[in-house]
Amino acid sequence: MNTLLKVSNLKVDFMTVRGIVHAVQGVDFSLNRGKTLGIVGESGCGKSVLVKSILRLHEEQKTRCSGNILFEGHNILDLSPREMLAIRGVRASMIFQDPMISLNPILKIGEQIAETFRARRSMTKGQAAEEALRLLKRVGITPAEERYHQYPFELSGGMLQRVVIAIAISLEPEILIADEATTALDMTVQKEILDLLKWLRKEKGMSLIVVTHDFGVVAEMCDSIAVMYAGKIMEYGSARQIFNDPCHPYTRALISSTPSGAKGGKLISIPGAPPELYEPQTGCAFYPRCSQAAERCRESLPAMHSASGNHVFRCERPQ
Amino acid sequence: MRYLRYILKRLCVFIPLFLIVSLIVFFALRFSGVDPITVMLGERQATPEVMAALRAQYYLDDPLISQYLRWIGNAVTGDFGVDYINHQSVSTLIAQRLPITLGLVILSIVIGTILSVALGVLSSVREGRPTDRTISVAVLILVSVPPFLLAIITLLLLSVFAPSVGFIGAINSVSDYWARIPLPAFVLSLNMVAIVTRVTRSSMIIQLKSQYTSTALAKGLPAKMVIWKHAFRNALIPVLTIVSIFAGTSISGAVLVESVFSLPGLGGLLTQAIKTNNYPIVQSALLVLLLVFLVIGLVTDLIYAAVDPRIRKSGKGITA
Repeated sequence: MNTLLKVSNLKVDFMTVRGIVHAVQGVDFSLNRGKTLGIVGESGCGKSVLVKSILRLHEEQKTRCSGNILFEGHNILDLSPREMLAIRGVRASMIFQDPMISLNPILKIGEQIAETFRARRSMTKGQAAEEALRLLKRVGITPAEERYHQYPFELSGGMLQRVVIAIAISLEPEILIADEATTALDMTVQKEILDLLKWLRKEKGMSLIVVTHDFGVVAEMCDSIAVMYAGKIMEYGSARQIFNDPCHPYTRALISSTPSGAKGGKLISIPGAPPELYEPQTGCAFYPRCSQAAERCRESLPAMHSASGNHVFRCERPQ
Repeated sequence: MRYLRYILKRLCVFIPLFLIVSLIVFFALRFSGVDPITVMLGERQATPEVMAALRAQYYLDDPLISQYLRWIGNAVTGDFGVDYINHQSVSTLIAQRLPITLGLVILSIVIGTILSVALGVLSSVREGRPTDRTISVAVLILVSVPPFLLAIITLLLLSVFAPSVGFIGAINSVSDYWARIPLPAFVLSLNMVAIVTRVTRSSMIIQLKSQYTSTALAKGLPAKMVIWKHAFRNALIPVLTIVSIFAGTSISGAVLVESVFSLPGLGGLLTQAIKTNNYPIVQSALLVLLLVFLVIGLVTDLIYAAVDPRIRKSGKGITA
């Protein structure tokens, strides 16, 4: 198959003053060329940690990663810092949640694109500037010539996110990771940014990983969906399977708490909050908030069950 | 263009600031209660006629404000008049000694900044590892020793280990100057190194953890570029603030260090003049030192604005 990225049994622990946080607890997924994977879940369930480890953006001193992140056969976790340079920006790149803080506040936005061309493509100053300008136009920034010389504090959030996207795609990566890329933006701008991402995916044939807590976003963008909770994938399947036939109670709860997914226009919130991840769990992590919980859910870790084909879920009492 | 406008704006603040400072210096001294004539006469006796003549010669009967205007008016042309006791040109006295003090202050700022930036950045990049801890301990020791003590310790160590290094006598040539200034400047910079290293470290750690650093890494920049071009330039603003504060205090530190290393700088001139109530020297030397202080502030503001576009845009600085 055309598998670009294969993650297996990935675990990420953080050493903190309060103890070890088990942020990602054995995650498996794969991403095919040109496809879009959505990773959905509430805040604090390990989505961002998971995708950041693909680019190794954690503080190495305080992080412990194990498992495999295979990129064309090479395990990213084993690469040297020099070898990581061949991955970052070139093979995979990332867009972050808040465009207001994603850019260096004291560099001109044009320079923040152009410097990558100079550092990685050995372009001259003039070539790099020209290329950066072309890229600004591509992501819909007008008037690009003027914006090129402006600083981040002179642009709106939507404009900044376009710049961030331009930066992320500058070396034409095969995988683009969008970590809550539209969360900090208002609704109309969100739509524009999603359209831009879809257009880029089509034009460049990029694979996309979309991290979000918003089922509306995944519905619009994704081929397959991983629902994450407390550092684990609770359900995984194609977008159609997840929307038409959600098996895990958490997936169902998430869908009915999203405006686009709620039946009869009524939003249902999930009581409680995700657990803190200091202790390894003995039972199902969702058990305390689950409407279908039974005694055995607390006692043993639920196994992955197959619903149909690729569609899997981690629950002992599905409906 | 915007930067040019910023420089002009800063200069517009600088000039009134200088005038206010000179007013304070002049009037504070005049209200200190010592009669200039007594200073001039010293032990000698004089008839009221002689005293009146002296008063007239030094314009002491004029209203204070016109005395001030005469002094500041001459001062901006570089003429500080003559002193009350030896009747030497104050400008000459200051001009002889200023290079020593200025060299000491500037060199100590340069040495201190380079050292503490290097140590601070290294510390932040190796956060929590042995290098970082070693630097932290060294810095903690440095910060707790006052500069005059450091100067004396240095002298003692030198007299034991390198007795041929001389620290006595006049400075008559450029080579004398360069032989005598760097070591005291280094000693003077040590307290600053202690504080600025810590500020650089913590400021760098914040920047290295910020989102835009991740963006810079994720887009494929080499670590060196991320550290220096991105994180360090952003970390520079608090560092500059603390450097400028130390630059100010290093002027008073220089006075102490000069006396320990027997350097004929402004500090010695000023303390001697204060002891003898020699007004013209005191007020003029003070004015020059305060000018140095203000210029340091101005330079800091200009560097700030060069580093941070947001400051250029707002037109504000730290000195006012």
